[in-house]
Amino acid sequence: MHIKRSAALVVAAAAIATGVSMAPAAAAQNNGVCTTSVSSNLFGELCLYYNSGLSGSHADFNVPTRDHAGYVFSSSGAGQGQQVKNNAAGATNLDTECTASVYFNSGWSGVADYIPARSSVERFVRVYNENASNHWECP
Amino acid sequence: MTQRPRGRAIAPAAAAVGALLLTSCGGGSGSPENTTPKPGPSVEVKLRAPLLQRPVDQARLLPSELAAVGRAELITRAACMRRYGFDYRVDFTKSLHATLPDRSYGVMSEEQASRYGYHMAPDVDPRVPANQEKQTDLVSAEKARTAEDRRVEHLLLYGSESDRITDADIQRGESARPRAEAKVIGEYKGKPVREGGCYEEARTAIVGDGGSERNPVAMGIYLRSFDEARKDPEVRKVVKAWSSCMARRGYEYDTPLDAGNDLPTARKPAPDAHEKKVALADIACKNDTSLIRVWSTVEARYEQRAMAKEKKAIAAETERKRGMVRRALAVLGSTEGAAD
Repeated sequence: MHIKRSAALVVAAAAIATGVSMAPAAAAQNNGVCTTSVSSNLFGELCLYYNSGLSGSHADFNVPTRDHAGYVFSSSGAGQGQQVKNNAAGATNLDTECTASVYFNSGWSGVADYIPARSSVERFVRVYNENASNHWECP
Repeated sequence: MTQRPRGRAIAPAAAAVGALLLTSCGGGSGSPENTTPKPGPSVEVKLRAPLLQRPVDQARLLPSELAAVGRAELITRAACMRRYGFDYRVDFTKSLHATLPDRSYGVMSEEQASRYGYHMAPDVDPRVPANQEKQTDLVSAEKARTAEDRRVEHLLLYGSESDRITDADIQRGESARPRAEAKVIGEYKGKPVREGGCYEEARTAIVGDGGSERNPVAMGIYLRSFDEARKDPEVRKVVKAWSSCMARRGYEYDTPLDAGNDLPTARKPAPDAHEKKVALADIACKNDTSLIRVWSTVEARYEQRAMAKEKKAIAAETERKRGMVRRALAVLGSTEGAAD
């Protein structure tokens, strides 16, 4: 088998460092590291951010969670240690297949903002600071 | 576990791919001819009608529509990988129709309440409850034997070695974007490899443009109208009546959105008889007070008002949704087992 690169990429290729890790380890819920979970059957994580523009501290969820109460923003950055419930401004969904849903209320009640697979919402429309639970809609 | 840099995770996708293609020589195995699923006869696929039909749903994608679009993307993604000789197929592990129920006003159907209480039906939850894992990945392939094979496979799938999402991914969620010819970033088995890989090729083919599966204007109206209706005097009145009805049955809840959250079984894998009893009382009180009808009528009014101010955007998103769903259902209708 053979791969060859486009000629146009020669210069760029030479400038890029190699040795990037390919297979992320299975992620733990809210360990402060947002990962896709290609090496396990866990969901690619839903990462909730304290600030708009996907900035500040984040919390990472890899299972449907019926209540964000009790979780705090875990990574370093603005908002670290603050409660996740009703405090998230935006989110990234790192699952490669399933649409993430972030609900207004606990127990997956109320309306939800939907974040397609492998994409982000920089600022929630209405669950902005109103997030209380999350799930995924899988195809 | 190593801590990644935080904040917006942006990978220099094209450049990184260039670097990786420079040294990649592994690959997949299997013959595409042997693994291509036999397309069934093309049948018309219909999604089930939602419990509530909102005005804005002409442009907003429902969970059932998102599931259909996602499934069509998986089928298209697998076909793209087979083109490169990878043994990809789609395993349909659940019914197309098992999607997240509408819980806008809490539990909303007697059938759901009597069977699952305030829990989600097991078939919409893709985890094995015991270990919290997804049952399977829908797209599966013969396991890559070496790290090099995995690397090549990932490159072909995503056009990038990084598991981070790119700036383009982030922007995509915010608006519809024009469809652009993806840049060729390399070649594999004599076939061009494009930016975004098979993932992006499949997504673009079903969505129809460079944006995401989310229609942001419709989504915004849906979310804001819910919130406005929640504060409307007419809704407050019916919620109070529902709360009094529940109190008469011995349950203290201010709003149906909080019902069931305090039960001891709420965080357990399954409901008990008591949880089902409370959920059934909840439904009975919703029926007695016409809560769903009143609340959804008020909400529809706010949606219509907001839609009237966004006529052009809603018309565009309505057309966009129609195209997305039409293309998705056509793929499902010609793929055996995809619409079950």
